[in-house]
Amino acid sequence: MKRFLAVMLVMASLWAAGCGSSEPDSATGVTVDPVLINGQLPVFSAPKTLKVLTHDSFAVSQAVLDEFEEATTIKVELIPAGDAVAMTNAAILTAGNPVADVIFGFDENLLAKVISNRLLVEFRPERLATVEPTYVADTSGVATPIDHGDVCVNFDRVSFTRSGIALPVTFEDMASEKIKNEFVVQNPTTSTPGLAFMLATIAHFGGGDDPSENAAWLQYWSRLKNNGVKVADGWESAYYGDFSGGSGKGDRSLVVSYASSPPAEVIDPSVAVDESPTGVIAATCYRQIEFAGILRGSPNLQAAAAFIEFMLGPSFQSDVPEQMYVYPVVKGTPLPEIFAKYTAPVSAPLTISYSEVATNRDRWITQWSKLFRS
Amino acid sequence: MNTGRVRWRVLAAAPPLLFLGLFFLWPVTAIILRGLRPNGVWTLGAFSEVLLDSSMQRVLWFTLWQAFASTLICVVVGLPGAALFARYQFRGKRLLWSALLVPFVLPTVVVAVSMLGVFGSGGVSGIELDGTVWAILLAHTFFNYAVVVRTVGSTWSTIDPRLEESARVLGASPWRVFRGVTFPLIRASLAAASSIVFLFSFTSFGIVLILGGIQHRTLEVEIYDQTANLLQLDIAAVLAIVQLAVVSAVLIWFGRTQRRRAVIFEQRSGSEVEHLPSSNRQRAFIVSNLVFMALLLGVPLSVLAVRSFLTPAGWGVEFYTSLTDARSGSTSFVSPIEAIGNSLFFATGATAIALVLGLCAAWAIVGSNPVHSRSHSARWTDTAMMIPLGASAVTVGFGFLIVFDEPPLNLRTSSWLLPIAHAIVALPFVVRLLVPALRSIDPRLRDAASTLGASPRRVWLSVDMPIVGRAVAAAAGFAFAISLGEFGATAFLARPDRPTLPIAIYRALGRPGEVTFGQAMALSTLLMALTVVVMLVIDRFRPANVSEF
Amino acid sequence: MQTNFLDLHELTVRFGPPANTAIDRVSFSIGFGEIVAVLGASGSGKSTLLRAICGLVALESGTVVLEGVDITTTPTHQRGVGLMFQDHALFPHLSVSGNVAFGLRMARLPKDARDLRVEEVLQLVGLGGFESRSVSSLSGGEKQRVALARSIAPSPRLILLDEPMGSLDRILRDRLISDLHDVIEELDMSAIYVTHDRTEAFEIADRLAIMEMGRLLQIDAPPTVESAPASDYVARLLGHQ
Repeated sequence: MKRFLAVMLVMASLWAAGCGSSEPDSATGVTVDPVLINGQLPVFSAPKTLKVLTHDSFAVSQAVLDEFEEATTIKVELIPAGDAVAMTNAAILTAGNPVADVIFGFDENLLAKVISNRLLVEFRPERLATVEPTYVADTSGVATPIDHGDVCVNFDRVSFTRSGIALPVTFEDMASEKIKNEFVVQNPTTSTPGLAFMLATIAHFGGGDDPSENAAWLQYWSRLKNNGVKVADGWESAYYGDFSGGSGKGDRSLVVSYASSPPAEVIDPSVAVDESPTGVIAATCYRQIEFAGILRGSPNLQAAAAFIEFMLGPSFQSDVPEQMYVYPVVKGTPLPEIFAKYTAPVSAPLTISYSEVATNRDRWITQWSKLFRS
Repeated sequence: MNTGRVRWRVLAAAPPLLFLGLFFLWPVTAIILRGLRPNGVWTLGAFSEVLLDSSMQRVLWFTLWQAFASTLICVVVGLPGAALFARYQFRGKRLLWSALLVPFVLPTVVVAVSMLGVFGSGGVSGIELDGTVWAILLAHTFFNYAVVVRTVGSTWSTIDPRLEESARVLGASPWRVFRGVTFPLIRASLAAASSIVFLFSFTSFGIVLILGGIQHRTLEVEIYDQTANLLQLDIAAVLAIVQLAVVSAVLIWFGRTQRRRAVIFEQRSGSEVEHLPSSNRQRAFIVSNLVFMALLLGVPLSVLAVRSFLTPAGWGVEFYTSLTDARSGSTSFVSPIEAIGNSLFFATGATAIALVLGLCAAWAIVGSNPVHSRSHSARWTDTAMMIPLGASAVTVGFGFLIVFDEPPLNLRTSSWLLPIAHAIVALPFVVRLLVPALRSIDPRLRDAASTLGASPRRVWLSVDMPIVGRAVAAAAGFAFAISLGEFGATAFLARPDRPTLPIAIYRALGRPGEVTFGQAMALSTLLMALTVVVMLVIDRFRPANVSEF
Repeated sequence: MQTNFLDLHELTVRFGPPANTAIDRVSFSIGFGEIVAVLGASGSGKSTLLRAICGLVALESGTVVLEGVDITTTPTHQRGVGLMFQDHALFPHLSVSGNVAFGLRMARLPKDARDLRVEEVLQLVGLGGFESRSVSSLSGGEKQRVALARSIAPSPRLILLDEPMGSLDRILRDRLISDLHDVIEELDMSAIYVTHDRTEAFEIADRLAIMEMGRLLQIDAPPTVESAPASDYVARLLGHQ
């Protein structure tokens, strides 16, 4: 038996070594030609299946997906692969021999990694022209923006009304004496909204280039820490376990969540209520854009390109708010009523360019972790 | 043993070892080598980087001690529970025995949110443990209590109570009866249970992240971080090697105590050993045990169930009824029937795989003669079966991605990956269940069959199989329960969308809103009910003479 | 005042629910060095009687007085009574000497004295030299002797034997019974011997107690029981027509 195990180990090593040497070759980038015919999706003669790698929160109406199949004869198979970070890293691990044709759902913070690992082939969709220019973050032409959202501090309206404390409106309010032990954030090392909120503080307070513990943004965090901020591991436990507003079951009245969370807390949209039980502190919002791209090595480049065009089309774009609680990127896409009513558009969200995030992210997280582990 | 039997044993050992080699050893080795030998050149700098890093040393130390502490606590609180089930009859015993396994199959995040409702700031208990190591130990006890109670309890219930009575008459106090008679006889199953609790606590991930706060990190959390978040495969590789080394060392150590001290004894069936409480002391023992279980398991689970019925409009079943219609036009929509169906489908596949391989492995370990079952190869097979329990799900999941990428083994997105991953986890449980059953077969029966001209295959079919049949049924159920609840590996496998019940729960919990939260609670309650039903069915088949689980 | 070795007064044991009287107001006494055989069909409560005397089941009412001391509430392990079960109940994880020495260890006897006593007792039951044998390697008769050696090793004044010959064949049984009788006499113990076999009972007993459905029907010297059975049932049990 021992010998058998040894043989298996050797076999495994040989295989793995073989795999190791088939690392990405140095071929130049592939470019996919335009696929739309007179602005319409093409019809493919041979029906085939297109695989789409997504994060676990991906959702689209079945009717919208069927529309794509009817128009093109291409059937779509969804492959969820963990959260956005895990999905992107899984794709990087299989770069060049991908598990799917299209990848959807990586955000700006992952963009640099996607580009440097040559995960995608170049494709500039025709419909990119209809997208609001601020969302076209990638100039290399591999990542197409599909939707955007904002990570913002949410508050429990009921709790503030009860206590009579003025609703917080700025970053400083969360660190004020009046609202002690009321704030819960997510760990930026394990959570996407957690990272976004840390970036928001950097964008707001500055000091991103200061590697010391006195960086302006870190000073804010140390005030938060002294004010009893709680760091949860992820969105679920922070929102449901610690937050007191809406469907939250905890006892803290401030949480990092999304600009689109308040409409979800309106229990029955058919009954007219003026306000959601929760609200958003607009000054804390940080922009998140989600991208899609065609995975290098896909044998279905044309079909993949057609799907990306489809995602920028009117039916998909108007479907994203209710399905994924995010906003469309195409100019003039109408919003569902519940969004129009219970969310205010975030006019000036905080942003940091993806290249700056890529350069500094690890150092920022180290600085932050040092403060919170001490 | 004649050479024919030896040949058959080697043949029997081949499928399980091949399976583990292909679906565990190969992917894990590949992902480790990808980290250490990225472009065909060995780069071992990560070793010193990790091993000399004081914060990593702290992580390793914390991982180790919390796992030992969790195991110790589970053993200390689990032994009275085991005694309760082994020795007493009381109302609702069968139901409770089945319900014990509920925590075992529930998704971590659901339980953690429940526990925050009990032990968080403002929780119903008034005690705030959130973010402390106590919260971690408490949650580990919650999840693993059943492993100790059910494993040790079944063995204990086969011990002739007259042994303990003899000792008492010979002048042994209750404590010395336990030390001198009971403990030596349950030691083997206690070691088996402890090793499983240790592995689960050692590789604890969700609990440590959610309840441990930012201060506490285990090796598993680091490996996840380095692999799935940072893609630092070299660091992850070193950490994975450290984890596997520690796990193997502990397993070998547990295995030794288990084997050196194992005693084969005549087993009694339930009716001979169980009795109604006859004194106030015994009644107090039963009551205090039940109160403890109600506090440890009952409170967090009731919080969960209560929340599934507590709608914004008061008590009601809206969360359940809404499961079938809400968001029904969405690709992310999972009808509960579909989720239960998928769960049952995958669980059946996983159970089939684990059973076939488990039977082969158990037969190879025991051999045709129990007296020879302590041979080297049997020991190695036994230990090898357990190691996957101590490996990181993300290591295996990412390993799958890079090895199964070429035909004929292009399995990366195959639906088979899920039952295969579940079977890897279930296999050690199945083996642990079948080995004692096979050992209990009198070898003379086999010899008798052989001398009557039966081939080894016929001996197996005509002698072993009928005796082992009921143990197989019990093992099937256990594998089934593991697959129903398994989530770790599931999360890291890119696979076509066939959501199971735990996945549906995670999806519901990933969105804000009363209704989605209520649906997550309702789905969890359904999962609890399904588990109890499956376990009740299994226990019907449970043979009296099978110890361990 | 007290001249009896053991006095049982109105012992009652109930199991339940549903309430089910296992022994019902049983009273009798045993003299020093006396062997009493308790004869009865299975389910008559004779085993429960033994378990009540050594404290393994709780009494509903009644008293147990051993050598003038009321031991009704004394925990089993402090009663100093020997008990031997029908199917030996040898400790499977201990060797022959480990089994025999168990009670001596509990009494905290030093190792030298213990070894000496084990050797002595094994000689007495005819198993000299068996010390290091594993109990699983013994024959039925040998196990029986080890069980006897184990219960007499701590020198109890009273030994309770619960169908000690139950699983043995006739020839072995006859030999062991006379050996057992000699050992009890030699060690100057009193004994209660539970059996359903009248031959055994007659062979070993000074007095015979007959039980049915938890009640003591008659207790007398064997010839008296034979010549003057207290009831039809006793007569039938003894094989009279």
